[in-house]
Formats: sequence, structure tokens, C-alpha cells
Amino acid sequence: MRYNSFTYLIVEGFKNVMKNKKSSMTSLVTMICAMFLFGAFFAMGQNIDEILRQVQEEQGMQVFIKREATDEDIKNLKDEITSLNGINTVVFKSKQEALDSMKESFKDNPDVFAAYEGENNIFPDSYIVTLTDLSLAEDIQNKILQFEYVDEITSSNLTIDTLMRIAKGINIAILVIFILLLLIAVTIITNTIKLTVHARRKEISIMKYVGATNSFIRWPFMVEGMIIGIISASITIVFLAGIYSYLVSKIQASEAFARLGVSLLQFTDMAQVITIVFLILGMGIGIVGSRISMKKYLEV
Amino acid sequence: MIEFKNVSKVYKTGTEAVHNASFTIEKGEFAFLVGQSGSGKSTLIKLILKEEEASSGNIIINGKDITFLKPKRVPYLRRSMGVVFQDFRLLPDKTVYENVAFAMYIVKATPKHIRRQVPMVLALVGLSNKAKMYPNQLSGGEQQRVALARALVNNPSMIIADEPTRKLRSRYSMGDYAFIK
Repeated sequence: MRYNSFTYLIVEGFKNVMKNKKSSMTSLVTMICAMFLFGAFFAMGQNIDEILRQVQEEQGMQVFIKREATDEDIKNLKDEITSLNGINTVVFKSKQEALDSMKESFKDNPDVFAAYEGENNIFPDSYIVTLTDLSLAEDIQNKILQFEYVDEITSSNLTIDTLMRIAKGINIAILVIFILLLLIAVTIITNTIKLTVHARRKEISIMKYVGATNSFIRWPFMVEGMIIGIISASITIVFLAGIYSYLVSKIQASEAFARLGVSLLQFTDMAQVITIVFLILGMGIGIVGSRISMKKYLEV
Repeated sequence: MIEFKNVSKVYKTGTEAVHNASFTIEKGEFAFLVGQSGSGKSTLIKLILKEEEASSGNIIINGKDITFLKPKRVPYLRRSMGVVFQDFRLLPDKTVYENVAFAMYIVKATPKHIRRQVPMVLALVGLSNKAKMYPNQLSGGEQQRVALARALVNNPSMIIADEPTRKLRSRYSMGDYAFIK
């Protein structure tokens, strides 16, 4: 396509948007609403993923070491565990530390453990292992059990399973919502563009008689859809950023949340993905919408 | 140039608009189709433009049988002819200049070519001073000349006019077309 007809099509697209202010506004508002809802769910999903990730990293297992292990053996064991896939941290907890933490839990009754000091300490040395990916927990546990000097492993498999199930459910829900919103947006955009196209059906038929190809006729409408898409994406991002940042600051300031020991994502962490997704979505909906709505009028 | 071979057209309603039409129009020929209203003149033009499909027979334009022309090629067929419709079919929100230039945009003419060609054609039909006006500011005769200018602007190999003078007083009807020759 030569430069001039390309400019012509783009300029026509812009003119259409300005000329049909009412229907453009309708499309704009609809798209903003749909995208905002999608953005809200997306942000929620991202945060849940993030919290799960943080929780996962703290979820771990305690690997108890056999008494006969020497300092050298214990050190080697750490290297062996660290070399496994999916390990986040490996922290040594000596028998003395174990005893201290026991005493800490029973500080109202310190005499209970008095007999276990020094040589009489019955607690074993252990490693606290945290994971980067909880789905690997069982696999890792089995591997560690095969290492020398490993006595036993305690972990909270139940919590892990529940967390994984919640994460999966949320992701599926977000996908379903996304598809629904996409369908709604395309339907509404199709109808609004149909109004524009209907109002200009005479012009379209004239274009066809003068020898315009379908794509030549379609382009200005697609550009129109794209412009509406891009504008609504931009407005939605600004809205979303403002509301999200406000809510996050409120939530993180609350005491209940502070007790959970997790942090939420900042909007800037998601901004790039959201911007790209929204722009593609906006343009895509605009293009698909205008294509569907024009079909009938191009058959002359 | 235009050849009809036993062409018939029966509409879905059962009306037979064209019955077994055969004729040839050669290059440079000036052909007139005369008949009562409802006799199928417009249908014949629609068949040439491939707005309607012939029920039987063959239509050959510029040596090509358009009977089985793919829908995608139809715009290119239409570009080879300049058409003046009985209702002129001008774009109401475009000026006289834009209405004519529009036909050139469609064939992807260069801006330079458009700037040179459009004023020339408008001068030819005597509308140079009305280039910035909109169709509804023009008289019927002037609108018709805009339609004619649009049909001429891409130098088509043929001009097809469907009762272009119907909306005009008879005094104008032939004079306007005299320069086409």
C-alpha cells in the first residue's frame, strides 16, 4: 500500500471516531468497564499468586539428622540438599537451638528441660529446608530421605496441598472471567460499530460501486475500532493504577494484614504486562468487532 | 468491449428482467439502451457491474468472461469502467473535490497525480468554481456533472450511465455528454 492511501485510511478512521461521538463514547465506556473488571481480576490473581509464592517459600520441611553424624557429614548433607532442584533455603538448626526454642515455648515452666542441658540434650540436629515450588515437595522429600544420616522428615503436606488447590482454582476462575468479559466486550463493540456502519451503508455501497476493495472499505472502521481500543486501554490503565495503589496502601496499612507477614504487589510490578495485554486486547476487540459488524454491508 | 451472449436474468421473485439478450458494443462506440421503465435497463447495467449475477448466458467485458469472476476481482472490474448512476450516488459529507478524489484514492493514485487530475476533470465538466461545495449545495445538473467527473477521473475504458438525465430537464440532457466523445 502506498503512503497516501495509508494516510487516507488512518485519517478516515480518526474522522469516524470524531464524527460518531455518541457511539464512540458508548464503545469507549463499555470497553473501559470490561477492561477494568478484567484488570481488577487480573491484579487480584497476580496478588494471590504472589502471596502463595511468599507462603510457599516459608513453607518447608524439617530434616532431622542422625546422632552419629559428624560435623563433616552434616556439612556434606547440606551440600547434597542444596544441589536438589526447587530448593529455596537450607538453614541449620543445632540441637542447642532446638532445645532453646523448646524452652522458649515453655518459658512459664523452665525447669521441665533443665535435665536435658549439654550432654543430655535429646533433640537432634536438623536442617530447615524451604522450597521455591511446593509442587515438588513430595519428590524432594523422597530424595532427601535417601541421603545418608537423614533420620526423618516432618512437613505439612496438608497445607501445601490446600494452597496448591486454591491457587489452581483461582487461576481457572480468572480465565473464565477473562473469556466472559472478552465475549461481552466483542459483542457490544460489534453492535456499536454496526450502528456506525449502518448509518454509513450508503457510503459503503458507493465505495463498492466505484471499485473499492473490501479491505479498503474495512480499514477506516478497523482503525476506528483500534483507536477506541487504545484510548479505552489507556484510560483503564490510569484508573486501575490509581485505584489499585490506593487500595494496596490501605490494605497494607491495616493491622490484620501486617500480621499475615506477606506483602502485596505494587502496580508498577504489573504495569508492563497489563499495558501490553490491554493494548493488544483493545486493538484486537476493535478489529474483530469492526470485522464482524461490516460483514453484511460488504456484500454488494 | 462489452459482449452479451444469450444473457437472461430472473430475480428470486420470479420476475424475468432480461430475456436472452445478445449484443456487442465495440470500443469507441456510443450505445443507447432505450425502453420503458421496468423493461430491464437497470438490470442490464447491474449485470455489467456484477452487482447481479446472470441466471444464464455469458457476459464478456474487455475480452474476459465475467460470469465466473471471483468476488475478490469484482472491484478491479468496476475500476475499468466509470459509472454514472441515476441517483448520482455522491457522498454527502464530502466536497465536490473530495468526491472525485475519492475514486482516485481507491485505485491508490499518488497524491501528486490526484492534485493534478481532479482539477482538470472538474474543469472539464465546468465545476472548477464549486470544488469546495457539498453535493446538497448543488443543483441536480451540477450533481450529475460531479458524478460524471468521478466516472471520468481514472480514465476508464468505458463510461456507463444509467438514465443520467432522468432527473434533469431535457434541455440539458444531451449537451452535458457531448464532450465525452
